[in-house]
Amino acid sequence: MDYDALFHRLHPALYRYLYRLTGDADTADDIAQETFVRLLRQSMPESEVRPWLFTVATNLVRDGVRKAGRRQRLLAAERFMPASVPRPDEMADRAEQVELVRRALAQIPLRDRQLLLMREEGFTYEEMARAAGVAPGSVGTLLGRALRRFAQVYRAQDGRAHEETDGTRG
Amino acid sequence: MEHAGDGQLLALMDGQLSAAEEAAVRSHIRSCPACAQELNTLREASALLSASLRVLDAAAPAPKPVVPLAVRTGGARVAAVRRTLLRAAGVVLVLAGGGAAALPGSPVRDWARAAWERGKALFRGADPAATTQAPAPAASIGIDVAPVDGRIRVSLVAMPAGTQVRVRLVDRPVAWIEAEEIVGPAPQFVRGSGRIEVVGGAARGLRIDLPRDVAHAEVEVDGRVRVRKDGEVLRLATAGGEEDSGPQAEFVIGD
Repeated sequence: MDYDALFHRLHPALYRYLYRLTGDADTADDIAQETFVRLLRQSMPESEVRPWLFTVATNLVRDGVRKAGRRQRLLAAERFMPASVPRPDEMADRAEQVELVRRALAQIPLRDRQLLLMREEGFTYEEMARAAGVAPGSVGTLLGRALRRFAQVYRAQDGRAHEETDGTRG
Repeated sequence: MEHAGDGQLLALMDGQLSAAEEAAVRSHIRSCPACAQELNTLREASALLSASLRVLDAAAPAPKPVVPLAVRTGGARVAAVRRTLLRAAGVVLVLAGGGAAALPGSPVRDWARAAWERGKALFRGADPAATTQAPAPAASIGIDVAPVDGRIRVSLVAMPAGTQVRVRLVDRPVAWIEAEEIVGPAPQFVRGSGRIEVVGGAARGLRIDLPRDVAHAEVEVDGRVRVRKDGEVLRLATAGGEEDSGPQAEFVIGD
């Protein structure tokens, strides 16, 4: 395997996936590099590397969640701040949006979140099924349920946020 | 056919059905308003998720680049790590991985990132000292953009002549634009609703993956359309007009 090429091709997507999955840049950074270090000890066809990386990374997230529990989630919430913020009002709006998305994603069980985010990365249902340990025939159903759940939670929170803003302004 | 379930509707959206299954589901949807409505609901939820993830991505700090250890750290640490590497690859990998997990924010994390470069050399049996001194591989960066109303436009602006551009159709719901082998300043990505501008920079190549399912997609260079999606194929603008390039098209900026 050409590890250099694989790293440069796959690291950005793995980092993005982990950041979306955990909501925390440091965690995403750490787990992405740990996953690539583990890749060094593996030998497999190149076509299998991408799903392998995402599967191992998700397992590391799952293990981390089990170990760190509530403390990690609180830390993630505190760290979740916009990277660049031109104006105070934009900063507030953007931070609110980000928090809204993060909270909506957090309402979805990890396995379903994994499927949603792997779909966004263009994985096939077969690859997603192997990574999540579910039957290939159930992937579409699980995705549908997770999408509906995300939209429902997001819109409910968005409505609540607007009500709070209106109340504050009123 | 009974009503289509979420599994079938999602698989239809994602191009995961066989031709026969797809034909059957499409035929049913044409005659079933309830299923057509459910398909729309799922499409809206999917678009909402994609848009939300872009909000999240915009707030994400860029991953710290992997650069040679010699650049990131002082000579003493290089020597220390090199000695460790010479003793045992496993020690370094455990130190890097474990240290990074245990001490976020610690300098150990720098070692962990760079361990990838050195670990490779050890597992291949190469000289780790030589690896430490080697220049960093050229970086690449990418960004995705989701279609809006079935449209995607990629605009390349003020990119250097000679940049190789490869466009292809892929079975994914979003487009992916990646600047490859960046040898100077990175191009700027300016993302809008269903469109993205790639401005300037010094990348040797640009890879543009367009969703096969999107109805309209164009790649333009400084305001002039060079590639446009026409059904299942890409059409490349040439001096003589337009040519069918199949699912992949290539051109060089400035030619």
